[in-house]
Amino acid sequence: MEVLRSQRKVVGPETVPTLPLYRSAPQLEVRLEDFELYAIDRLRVLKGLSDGLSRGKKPEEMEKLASELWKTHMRHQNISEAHNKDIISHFVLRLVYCRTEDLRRWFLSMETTLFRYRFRLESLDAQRMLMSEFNLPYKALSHTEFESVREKLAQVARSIGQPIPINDAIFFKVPFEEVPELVAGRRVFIFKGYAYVAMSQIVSLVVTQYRSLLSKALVLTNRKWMSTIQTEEKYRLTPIVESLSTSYLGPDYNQAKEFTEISLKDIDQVAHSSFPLCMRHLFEKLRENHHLKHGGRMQLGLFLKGVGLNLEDALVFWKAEFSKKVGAERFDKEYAYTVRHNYGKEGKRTDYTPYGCQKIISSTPGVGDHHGCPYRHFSEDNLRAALGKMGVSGRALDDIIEKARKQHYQLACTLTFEAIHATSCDSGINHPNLYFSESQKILQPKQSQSIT
Amino acid sequence: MFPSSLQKGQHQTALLLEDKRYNFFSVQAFSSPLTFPLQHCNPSSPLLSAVPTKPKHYRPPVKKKEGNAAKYITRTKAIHYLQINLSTFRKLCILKGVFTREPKKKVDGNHKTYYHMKDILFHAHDPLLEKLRITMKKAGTENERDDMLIDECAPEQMQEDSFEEGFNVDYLKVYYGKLFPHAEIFKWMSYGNDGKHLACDQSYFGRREFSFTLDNDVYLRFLSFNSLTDLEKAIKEKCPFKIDIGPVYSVDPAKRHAYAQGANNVFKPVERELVFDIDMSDYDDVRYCCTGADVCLDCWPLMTIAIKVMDTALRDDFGFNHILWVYSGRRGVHCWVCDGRARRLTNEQRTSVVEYFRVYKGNENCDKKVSLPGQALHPFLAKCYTDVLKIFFEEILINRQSLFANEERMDRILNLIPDEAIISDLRNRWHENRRLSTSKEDINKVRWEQLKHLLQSGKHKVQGLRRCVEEIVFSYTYPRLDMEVSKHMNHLLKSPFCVHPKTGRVCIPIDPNCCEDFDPTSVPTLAKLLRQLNLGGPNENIVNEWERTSLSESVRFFQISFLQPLLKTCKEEKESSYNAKIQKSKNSLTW
Ligand code: SF4
Ligand SMILES: [Zn+2]
Repeated sequence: MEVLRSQRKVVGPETVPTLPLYRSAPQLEVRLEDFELYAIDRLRVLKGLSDGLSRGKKPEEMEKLASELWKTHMRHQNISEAHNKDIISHFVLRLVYCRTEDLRRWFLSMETTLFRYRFRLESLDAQRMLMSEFNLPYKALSHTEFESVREKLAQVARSIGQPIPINDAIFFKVPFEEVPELVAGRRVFIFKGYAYVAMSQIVSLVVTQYRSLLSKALVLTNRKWMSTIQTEEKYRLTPIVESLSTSYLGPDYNQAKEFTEISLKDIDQVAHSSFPLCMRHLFEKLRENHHLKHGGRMQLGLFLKGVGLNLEDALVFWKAEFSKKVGAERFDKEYAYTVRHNYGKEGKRTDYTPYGCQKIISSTPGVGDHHGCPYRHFSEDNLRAALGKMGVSGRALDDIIEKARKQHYQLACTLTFEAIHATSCDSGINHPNLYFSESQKILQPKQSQSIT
Repeated sequence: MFPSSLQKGQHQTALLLEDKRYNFFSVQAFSSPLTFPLQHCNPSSPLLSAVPTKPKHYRPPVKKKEGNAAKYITRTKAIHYLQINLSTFRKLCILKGVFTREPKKKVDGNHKTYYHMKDILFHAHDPLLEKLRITMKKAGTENERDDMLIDECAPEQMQEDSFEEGFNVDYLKVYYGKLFPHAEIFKWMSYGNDGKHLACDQSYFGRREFSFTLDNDVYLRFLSFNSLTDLEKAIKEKCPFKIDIGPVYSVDPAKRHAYAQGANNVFKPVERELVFDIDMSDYDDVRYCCTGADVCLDCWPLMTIAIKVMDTALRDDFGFNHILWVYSGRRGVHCWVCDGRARRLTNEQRTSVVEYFRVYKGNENCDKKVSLPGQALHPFLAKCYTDVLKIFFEEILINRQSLFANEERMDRILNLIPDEAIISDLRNRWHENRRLSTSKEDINKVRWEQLKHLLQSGKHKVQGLRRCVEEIVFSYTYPRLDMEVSKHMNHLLKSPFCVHPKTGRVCIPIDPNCCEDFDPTSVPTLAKLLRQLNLGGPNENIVNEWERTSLSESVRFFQISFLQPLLKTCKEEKESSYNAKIQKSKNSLTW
């Protein structure tokens, strides 16, 4: 962590944004305890945000959540110390989360989320200041230009429930590539390759910039970590860094550790007793149609891998089903590759990790797809029926449906777990494999008791 | 009959031929597989002139007849020599590219067709000939025999069925050999980097991934070629059933392992056309004429809609200009957006573009698949609704698909309406007019009008129902994209001008400006093209073989409407970026 450039230039105190861009590492002396404590505090914030996202919280709720989390964890009596804490904790976590693709991805998306909501809390002037710090070359739309597209802009505003732009509304005309999230949500008017971004939406533009900056920086940090820091700091920082990254992310369920492998003959039975609804549904559909589309194959396949199905068994399992529909030959030719791929035996040879709830919930199943989270993607009737089949009924069922309707999908899933296992589940469900292992924990002792 | 030992070995055959030449010709119509040793088959050989000669007149090959009599052979003689019948001979000529010749002095008369002796000799041992003989033998009937005896007087008496519809390797070989537009594909994939300009990146084409699916289901990925000749040679040699085109990588994909060793993986895709794949099987819940892999003219309009909607939006909204639409050979269409800007999009940006197009959110567990919330439609959706969807739905699809023809179909539509009262109201009305004597055609229209009227009439203008008519139309018409294909740079997509192994149809480009006229059932097929090749004689004016066939229209369209403008833009971009660079370096120098 050397300083690459001089520190940020000092700006007048009245407009100084409290939001740093973390362009360069600070030249500060940090006590080793602070090093760790600050990092843990920031991690709490990020973790809280990640939970909020997976609960399916709406932007406004997220904004509130972000500011609350920030206040509780990152506050400091001394303003400049608070600022330092912000910067130090960020750079420590950069170090912690730069080391693998998965860690980087998680950190990047959480930091970006944090940045987004903090940006929105800034004053308009501070926002402009930040914008200019990114050196964005975009000028506000001139009046004539504005008039020429005014009608369209109004139409877009109405379609997303925003107030209709008034006369002196500020719009920026930027290449559509710069604002992917606005494009994806059809939240901007796009014409001839340019998106017309309202001042209230400028956060997207800035966030994209921030994200790409951070993403590049993470790769660089990783390189540095690999080449020098890791060995130089072998006794001082490295242990801290390594423990930090595992302590908060939770296990990634890449290898089933607690339970030794499950075998093929048990699979139907475990599926019935311990699979969460999303996997159970996929499993049943697979047995029924002898086929799953790509999204479903990935979701179920990786889950099964996490559950402890080894590659040979996985191949046998998928082949047994698919060959009923497409024939064994075509399976070997077209599908076996992806199964091996999931186990890191083909292609890039990355060992893929099972999908977490957040990823499943935010997936977008289309026609013919069965993946996704039932609490989110099923219509209410279908969800009711599916839960009924699992043996949930009465009050519990209504509660679950209610939670799902309020978009608390993972809570709904937790309630389902509790209803089925007749115990409470305090940790909550945030990963289908967690559901599975919790369920096994409860069921297995019972089974072994009944045997003895 | 013929001694069976004839087939056993060359030596025996040779002996037999010398001794029993007479016998041999007495059964010349005999069509069993024969292998002729070459030395006995020279033009002067009595065997060919069919004049019996005694062994002592035999002359060594070098000293035989000279001039045209030695150089040319008539068709009848060639047929006899090769021991096949006329139609098989024709096939051979096409598959192997044997042309008729015009000798200055026609030894055997003016009305005959001549071939180069060399050509015939050359093919006498072709393994293909063996195959053809076997098929011929299978189909061997009296009338084949007649066929053989017909002389050259009726050359145009082509048998339509001499190339059966469908797909086979031999046809495909000819297709790649003579028709496939290698050069055009190369030009396209080079994006102007094959030029002499200093800004050209000579390694560009070589970093593009191709992948072949071969005859025996072998799947070759990460192939790369350095030049047109390389590409052409590989395609002709391997004769792939399917050619897929992948991204341009940072390094030559064939050597990726060498680079993968480094800690920071430098092997990654750097450029890729923005591609879309629309497949008819995703529309199975809104078409009743066929399912799965089949398409017909009643459901094809769904593809036309997709092309229209997407093409307009890609041009008007996203500002792309170089867009190629291709028939996928069976039941869908592919789209290649080739502008430089599109090629350089990141995965995230690609995802945002497909999301922009996505309206259809339903999966198998929700009835209502489209929901259009908000006070107004986004300008893009509003435009495609009024310009395309509504018209196609009301004018074409309602009737062609008989969307309201029976209970089940009506239920499907009613399921999309969230209001019980209206549903039962409509159900009653539709039940009544079932007995009405309106013709089948009209009943769909009548019912649709009723539905529209009921939903849009004043008293129902409540929240939630306002969008219902639009939602129905969107559900039944709006393009359904295979999102995964478009989201990632390294997804492969089938190359244009491939032949679909199941249908034998060529994946030809579709002109988006008249995509209404495109008829998937009448695109050139492998067999049709070979037949056309067969019909035309040699023509001096023709440079490329495809010009003789109906493929020419497609290749020309590809060249003129797509490739030329694209290359022009590429050139301009190259020049301007080069100039900018020069300018910059100059500036930095003076500074
Ligand atoms: S909440 Fe998670 S585990 Fe439960 S069904 Fe949804 S995705 Fe599966
Ligand atoms: Zn059809």
